[in-house]
Amino acid sequence: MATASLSIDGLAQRCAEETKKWNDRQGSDPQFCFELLRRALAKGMAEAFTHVYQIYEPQVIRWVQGHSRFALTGENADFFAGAALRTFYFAMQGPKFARFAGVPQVLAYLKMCVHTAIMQYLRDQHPVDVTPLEDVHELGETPDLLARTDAAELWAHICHLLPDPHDRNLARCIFLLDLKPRQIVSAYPLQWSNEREVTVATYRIRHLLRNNAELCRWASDI
Amino acid sequence: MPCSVPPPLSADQISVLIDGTATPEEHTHLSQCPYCSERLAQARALEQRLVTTLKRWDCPSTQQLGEYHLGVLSAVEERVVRRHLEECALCKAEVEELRQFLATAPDEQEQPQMILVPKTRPHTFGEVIARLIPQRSSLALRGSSREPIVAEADGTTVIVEIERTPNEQIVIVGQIAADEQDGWTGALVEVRQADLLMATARVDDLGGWQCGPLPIAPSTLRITPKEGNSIILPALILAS
Repeated sequence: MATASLSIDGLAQRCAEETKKWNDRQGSDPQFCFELLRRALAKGMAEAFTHVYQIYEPQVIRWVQGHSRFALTGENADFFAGAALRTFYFAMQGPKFARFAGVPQVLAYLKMCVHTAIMQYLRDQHPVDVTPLEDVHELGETPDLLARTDAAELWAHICHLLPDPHDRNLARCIFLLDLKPRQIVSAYPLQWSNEREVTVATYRIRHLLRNNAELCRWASDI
Repeated sequence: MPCSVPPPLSADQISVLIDGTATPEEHTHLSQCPYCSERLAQARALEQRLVTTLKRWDCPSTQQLGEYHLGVLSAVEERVVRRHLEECALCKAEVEELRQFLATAPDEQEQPQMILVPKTRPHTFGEVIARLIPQRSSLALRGSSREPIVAEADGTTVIVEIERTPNEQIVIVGQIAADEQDGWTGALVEVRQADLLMATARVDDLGGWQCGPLPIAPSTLRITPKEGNSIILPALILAS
């Protein structure tokens, strides 16, 4: 059957049926879902996107519930399902859809959006003092554009104070990645052979930065 | 102010105190010496501010990392992310985690135990509940004679009108007015009834949109621009 001639409602009905077959591990025909996705995303047809949302939302919720970091967020699965579907909607608009050969590729992108929604949430979450969850802290946060500009200037200043690339790499581990000596040794075994070595170098860098008058003024200027 | 119990703590001892691995003698010194306590406080403040300001400032977003993994970035972006991954252990770990997540079938996924985490929703996931603005005079929207609902959120005005169709359904017609109107072009409108998504619409370049026909029921609207907070109009407002 030529999918191009089907109405959006007709496509949605066939896509829902084929998705159910796929979920039940029966043979399924992806052409109806692909055409529905194409109309929703490449053509920007809202009615088609409504069906895409309705058909795939249960699957997206299952992906959220199965994500290893979901439990760290304290949110419910619907929250991230909505966030992922919205990211998917904006990211796949227009010509980008042409880069995807079929339904499995498009759904891999949607599943990726689930992962990125959860991970970005944890990155951007401010650490909560009363609940020291190591995993949450390790993810850190991504500052906004203004903060990035400040950070870029500050990092340039620190690089100026630390001309040795080895020291710069360590400063990156300490201040940008917020890693502890054990984690630094584990992540960069070619540069560091043991925690003691990292700690000694860290103390030297800290001492150097603390003695920089400009940095001290900046730190006290809150 | 000199050290009260000389010699003063060395720079390394200050670092040890920051790391929480100091000896009892170093703690005793600190408790007796305002000068060294002040030095420790300054060192700690500098360190905290450095981490707060610099933490992951140059890391690609998780979406960029995901698109890198799926091979859908442009050649230039791909090069930038690849170079970043060579030196960033956290981003490398995130990409590896994504690879594992994508490779796992839903029925193979372990259901993680829920952990009670105090919710501090990041500003990047923000949503604003719109506030209803009482109307005195009748405003006409797209030629309609019924008085529309006007709500405000973060300086953005949302005007909504619910029209009944002859076959006892509703069509929701809306308009967004904001200082930065362009930011709302292409925004996604979601209409939910009893938590089920009933319709979506795209905000046009004049800020207008339309959803329906839909069953007559309390409807909640969420309008999400490509960048920035979503605006929510709860069912309460639409039912007013």
